Amino acid sequence: MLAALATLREDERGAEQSLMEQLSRRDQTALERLYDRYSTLVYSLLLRMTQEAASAEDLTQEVFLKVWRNAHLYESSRGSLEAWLVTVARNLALDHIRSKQEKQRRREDAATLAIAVARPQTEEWVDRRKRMEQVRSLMTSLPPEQRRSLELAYFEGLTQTEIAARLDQPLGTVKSWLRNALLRLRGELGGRS
Amino acid sequence: METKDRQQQYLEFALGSLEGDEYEEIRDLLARGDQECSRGVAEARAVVAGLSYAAPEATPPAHVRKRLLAAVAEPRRSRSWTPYLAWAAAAGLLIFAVLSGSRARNLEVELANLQQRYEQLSGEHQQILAETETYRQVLTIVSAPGTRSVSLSAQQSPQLQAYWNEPLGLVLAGQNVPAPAADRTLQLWIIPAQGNPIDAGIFRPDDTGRTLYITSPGISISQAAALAITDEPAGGQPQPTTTPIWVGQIG
Repeated sequence: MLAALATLREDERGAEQSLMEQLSRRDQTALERLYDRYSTLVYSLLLRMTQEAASAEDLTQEVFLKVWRNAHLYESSRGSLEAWLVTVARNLALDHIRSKQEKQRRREDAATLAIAVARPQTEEWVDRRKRMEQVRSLMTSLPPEQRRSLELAYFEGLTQTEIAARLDQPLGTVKSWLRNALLRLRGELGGRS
Repeated sequence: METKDRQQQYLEFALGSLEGDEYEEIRDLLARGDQECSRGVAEARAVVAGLSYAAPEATPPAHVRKRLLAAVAEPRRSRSWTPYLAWAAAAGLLIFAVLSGSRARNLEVELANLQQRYEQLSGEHQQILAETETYRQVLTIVSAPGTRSVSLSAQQSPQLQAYWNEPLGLVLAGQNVPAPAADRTLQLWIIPAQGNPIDAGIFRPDDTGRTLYITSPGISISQAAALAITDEPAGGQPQPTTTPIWVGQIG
């Protein structure tokens, strides 16, 4: 079973690398496939973070244009395409939020890219639905304070100090909440990386 | 060998919540090209990226795709018979223009019109492909064995119909659905037999009032008592803040 999963992931990585190579050659059909596969995930994240449909639409286009221009930087050995796309989208959204709020805060360098696989679309769709259910189930099962801390860090880009101030809790308490929440998350999703 | 604390730091770094000396330490290791750290941070980013699935599901409007493809379009590339015909015709017109110089100006105008037509057809083609994929997903859910049908009724709006299949997902369909205000959205909720409503994503009807929304409920249908739809601020809410407009009992 584990060997089969490992083989499947190898196949996925190979397909992702192939898709990114097509993008590097300016193959527009590859961009269309990429968009059709990931646009809902990217747009959902951007809408949740920006809370503005117009901004989420603009940023969605920017994410895929960034991939189009930087496809040659993608290395499948550094992670999945989905993780790369989500990282790019989140960083763009955080930049947008910070720019809007005129906040000056350091930003983690974004340098990870990744793409999807050429499995049958229905199978892939079901797989992603299951993953969505898995994450939402995890979030629901977290204690409310852990879930809130995680959401503030991920969707709003707050640091531990900022979360402590927002929730009016000691810094050490917030650190503990985030640590426990992240460990649960890694326990649930770590095997997919 | 990575310690448990180090793995935790990678996760917090990927989340963006790490601060102070710990943050500087990880950043320095990455800057120096430390392979163990690079690998650890990459794995942590993949884990943290999973949180994106916690966002309420929303489909981008069709014009976003169209705009993106227009931004990267290379006018001399074509992908279907229609553009080939357009360009073949354009080439013929060009040759003719060389042979009869007096008509060159008119042919330039025709060429521009053909190019504009090609771009229009290409955009429409992309939109049709996207819609076809949506209908394929809908058909998969509606026709699958075990799919449950739920009618959602409202006092002053047309009835909506939901089709729910585990694990394929839930389709919500309706016609002549009134659009929420520009800064508002419709949000679907799963009402469990016990506990608070569960967010099932946000959606808007199209310009004609047609609604076709696909989502993946966070709970099993056996635990759900009803479906409800509320009008919420754009982006959705963690819990309903208004009285449901549509409600449907799950029998």
